[in-house]
Amino acid sequence: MAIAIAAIAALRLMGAAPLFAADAASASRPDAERKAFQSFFFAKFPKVEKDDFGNGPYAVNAGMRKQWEEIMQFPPYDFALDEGQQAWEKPFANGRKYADCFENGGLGIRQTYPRFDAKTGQVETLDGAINRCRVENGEAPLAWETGTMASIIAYLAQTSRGKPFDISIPDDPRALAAYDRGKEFFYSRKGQLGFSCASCHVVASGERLRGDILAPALGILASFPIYRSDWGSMGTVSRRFTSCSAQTRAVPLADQDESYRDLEYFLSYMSNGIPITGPGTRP
Amino acid sequence: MKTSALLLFLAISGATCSAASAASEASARASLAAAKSEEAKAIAAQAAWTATVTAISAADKALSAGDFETAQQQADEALALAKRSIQQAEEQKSVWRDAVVR
Repeated sequence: MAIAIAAIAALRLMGAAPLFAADAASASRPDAERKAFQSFFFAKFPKVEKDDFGNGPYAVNAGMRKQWEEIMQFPPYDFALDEGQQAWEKPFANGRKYADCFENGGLGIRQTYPRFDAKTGQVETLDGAINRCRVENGEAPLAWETGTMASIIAYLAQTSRGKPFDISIPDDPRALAAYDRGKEFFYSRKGQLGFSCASCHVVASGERLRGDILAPALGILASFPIYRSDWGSMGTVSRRFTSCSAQTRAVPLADQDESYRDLEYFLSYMSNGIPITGPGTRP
Repeated sequence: MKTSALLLFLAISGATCSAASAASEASARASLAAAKSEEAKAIAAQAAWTATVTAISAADKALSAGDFETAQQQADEALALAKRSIQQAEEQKSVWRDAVVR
């Protein structure tokens, strides 16, 4: 007993004590928080089926849904699916392909991203994994927000349609810390307008903000990448995060900044069980 | 006599105006430097506001154009915005917890 106390005291002096706290919490806290998060939205939108939350504003507003159903007769992201498949299948200069970098050739895996990478101690998004694959094979990384990156993810997302988000937080204090940082970012008010992500997508979800219906945070990333009429092109989660920041009059962070990756990790984990619907379309 | 007095008045006025311009330029430059310093802190804290960037840019532009009054106004505004953005980030370090869905 005395040895154990001495060992704990020594570890505290070494600054290792928080590790124990994080380890103990990692088993259950995020899971309980996810259940509370989902219950909030199920109570707020009692008529919306769980699987429909991945359709964002179309799940909570009948008028928008009707318009969307008409738009979907000729989905505006179709061109991106073709372009994405071609880019995905085109070999790199060294003869290898994207598929060589991912399990199952990259197909049907979108719902498991972002992931915590134990090697780097950071969250890796699907976008990040795609660019890592390129760099490891001697290719230049793709731009994060639109273009070929969005098209490739559109193609991959389609192969995961219907598969529920399945994000894991491994028993690693660094993973729990990333989740916690993402949570803090989500709920922190930012920008001159003083909006947090939660201001629009929790508190005011389903309400109008000028001409838009604010999507519920639950399942909000399931439809990415999206063709947004406002953009006139496809956009990744990176594009959405930076534009959201700018809309609150905050200076956007760099694409794939660790804070944005942590936010994506938290939001995706909160949506565990919600099926992938991407690629999607938005006004 | 009248001509001499007028010339003297003009000379004194010119010197005074020049000194005032120099003073306002120095003040504007100092305020802008302070605003940029505060904005750098806001960026490091991921708390920067776009309005601060706009005001700093406007102050820089006015300074280059020799419009020291506008430069001073914009620099003062930028400094105030940068300070407020940092204050917001400091407040949110604890306040965000109140918003968590439980």
